[in-house]
Amino acid sequence: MTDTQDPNTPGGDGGFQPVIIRTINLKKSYRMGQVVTHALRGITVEIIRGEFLCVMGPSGSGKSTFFNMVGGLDSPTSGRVFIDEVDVAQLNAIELAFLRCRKIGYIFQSYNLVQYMTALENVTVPMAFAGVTEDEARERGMGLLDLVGLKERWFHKPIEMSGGQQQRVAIARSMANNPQILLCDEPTGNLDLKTGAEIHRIIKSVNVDRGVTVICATHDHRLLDMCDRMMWIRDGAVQRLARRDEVTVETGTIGGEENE
Amino acid sequence: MKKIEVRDQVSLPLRRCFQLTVQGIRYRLFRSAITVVIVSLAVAFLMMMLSTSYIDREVATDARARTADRRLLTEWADKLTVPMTPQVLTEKLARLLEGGTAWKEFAGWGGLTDKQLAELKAVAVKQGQYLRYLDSLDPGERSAMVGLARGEDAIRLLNSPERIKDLADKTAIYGRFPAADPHAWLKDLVGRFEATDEQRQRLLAGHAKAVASLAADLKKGDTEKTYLDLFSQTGQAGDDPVALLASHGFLLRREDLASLRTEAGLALDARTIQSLTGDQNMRSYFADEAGVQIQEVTAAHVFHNVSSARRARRMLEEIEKTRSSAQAKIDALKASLADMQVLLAKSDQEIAMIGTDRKSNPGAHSQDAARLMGLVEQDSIRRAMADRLKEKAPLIKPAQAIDVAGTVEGAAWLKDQIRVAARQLPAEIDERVDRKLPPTTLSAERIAEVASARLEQDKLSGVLSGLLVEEEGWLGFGRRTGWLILISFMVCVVGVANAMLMSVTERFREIATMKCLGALDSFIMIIFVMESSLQGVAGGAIGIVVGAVLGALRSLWSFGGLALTNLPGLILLGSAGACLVAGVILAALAAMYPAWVAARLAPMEAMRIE
Repeated sequence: MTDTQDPNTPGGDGGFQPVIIRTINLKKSYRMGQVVTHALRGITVEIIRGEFLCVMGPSGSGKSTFFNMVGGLDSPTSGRVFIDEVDVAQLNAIELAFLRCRKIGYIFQSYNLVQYMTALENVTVPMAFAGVTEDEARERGMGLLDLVGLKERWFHKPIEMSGGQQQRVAIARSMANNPQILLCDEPTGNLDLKTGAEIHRIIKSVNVDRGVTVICATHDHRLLDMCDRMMWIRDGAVQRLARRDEVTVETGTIGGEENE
Repeated sequence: MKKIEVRDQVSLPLRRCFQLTVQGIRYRLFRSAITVVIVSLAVAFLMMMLSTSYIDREVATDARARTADRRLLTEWADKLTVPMTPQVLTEKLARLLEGGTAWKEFAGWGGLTDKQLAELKAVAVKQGQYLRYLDSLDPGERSAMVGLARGEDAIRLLNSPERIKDLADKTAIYGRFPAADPHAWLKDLVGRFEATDEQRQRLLAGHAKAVASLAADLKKGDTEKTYLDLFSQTGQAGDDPVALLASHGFLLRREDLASLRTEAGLALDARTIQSLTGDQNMRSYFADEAGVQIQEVTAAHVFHNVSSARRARRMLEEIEKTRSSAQAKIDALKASLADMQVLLAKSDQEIAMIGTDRKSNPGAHSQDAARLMGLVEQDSIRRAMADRLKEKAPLIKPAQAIDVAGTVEGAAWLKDQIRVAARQLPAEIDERVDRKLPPTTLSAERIAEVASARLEQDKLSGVLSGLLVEEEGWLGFGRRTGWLILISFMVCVVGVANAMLMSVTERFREIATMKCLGALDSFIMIIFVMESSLQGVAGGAIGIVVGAVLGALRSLWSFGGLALTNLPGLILLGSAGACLVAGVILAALAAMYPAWVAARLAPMEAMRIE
């Protein structure tokens, strides 16, 4: 799979390593009684700093497992994950928490806001974990809520907000500690088309304006339009990896009626 | 863009953890309430047991102090009137205080030196150990060792070296013997017991003699006295009970005299009041007052009835009524005896004349005629006349006596009947005089005082006998209560752990998300233990109040006002603190496992979609 090395690397300047995440022969198997399930059968991939990567694959393809590995949420059976040349397997629990807190932002399909906290409190939770003072956290939190257009609703609790608003709060929260990687797991899976478009816009702007590397699992074709590269996973292996311009026509012809 | 470098994650300050915990509790008030209730139940149980146990102790101490005088009198009563049994002597010897009054008394009765007494005491202590050992055996083991022998007999039967050896061998089988070398120990006991036997007998005989001589001394003089009179009448000329008792070898401390006097006075007056139930009329009065059957009247009813001065006065009036009606009856009997004697002094003819005079002149009222008519009041004469006239006894009219006396023969017959009746009458009069209530010298106030004192003493004795303050066990609890509390706490721990586990399960996604956002395992652990501890504080506080109220109510129910005057405030406050701590520790302990489960949760659970 040498062709994964894309020559047109965005943001590949100077002495910085352009590859932010590198996986080498990543394998994961679960043992359920006597049966061993191979969720990942050896994935080697490089994700480039500042790119917008969409990951696709049917359910059970190992997409989620791959996500967990890349996000530092789970450890592989074999193979390695390097985040900015740091071997995740070498980190202890406290260092992993540090990594998750400051370097990676997570966006979940079901938002996962803490139900008893207001929007602002939800946004400032990661900052509290990072040791930011409350005053600074409040200020930064309001700024992030402003970014997602919810400044006026900072005191609302999740149950008082629509799904789209909740997801926007979740994006603000994921940005709390200025992470360099944003992991999105079906961010618009629970949203209607219009709200989904708004979320897409925000994610894209985060990617472009802040240079955050976005890795996004999705089935939404509009999002595929925004991304730099796409990766298909099937049966725990990379089926195809391609730049968007290589597949646009294909997508356009297949899902033409969905493209506006 | 800068390179990612990885450092250690900082941990959240406790204050923030606390804030987050309180927020979480407020969001899940109902689930928290369950935990609070579980903890409060266990703490309430502990607190109730603690408070009743402490109140019981205080009440017992108080009741013992208040009945001390009465017990002193009882002790002296036993000492002065009943010769000691060997068993009582052994118990007293074992508890003997060297140089105390009892020590001196014993030395006096037995003619013993201090050294001999000390030896007697040592033997008695050893004997006590031996007997307690026998008591600790179960009946089968015991009968295998000493048969049915009890007390001293269990020592006396060890009258040969073979038997001692035999018994010592058996102790090896059953174990628990108080000494390392049973054989030597038993041999020593038996040897010393036999050596001192004669001294003990001398002591017992000395005491018995003292009791007898005191009784004889009290009998002397005009009126027979009891030891109660001896104590209560002090202060009268020439009577010093301390000196009198000392002359018989009883050493009474002078400072005890005042309380003995009061108690003896109470006892005597109480006896007087109680003796009222001997009178038929008074007995039915008390029965009516108490609303019970006449044969069911007890001293308690009487004391209850007269425990106020107003009712005591009413009772005194009743006594006067009874006395005067009894006197009236006696007077009537004496009058008819006099009448009979007048009639007996007359000849048959004279009596017959009374009858004929009356016939010829029915209107005339002679004294003699009235005397004749009065005869039918006597049962024996009435029955005899009924026989003679072939009529029924109740139908006999007074005038018929005159008819019978109308003939000389009838008059002679009647005189015989009078003679028989007159012979029985004096005995009946004497009996009625005997049975008549003595005049009461007690004032209504004194009666009320004695009665209420007696009622209170009875109540205190009841309280004391009902109170089983166990010396053994933990914190004043019996073993059973201790187990109950332990089990209640275990149930509580399981309940809280279950509630917390459910809470953890319910919050899987929240916990996992927190971990994705950078929460450390320790943070998760802390918020769960903290949540449970806070619930423990709340439950503990509620439990303390509920338990203390329940405990106080229970004590109030069983001791009445005694419980209120004996509330050990400081101790109860201390136990409340202990209960609170117990509740918090309990809740925190119960939360450990659920918190650990939560802390170990993988952060990828946050990705899961249900």
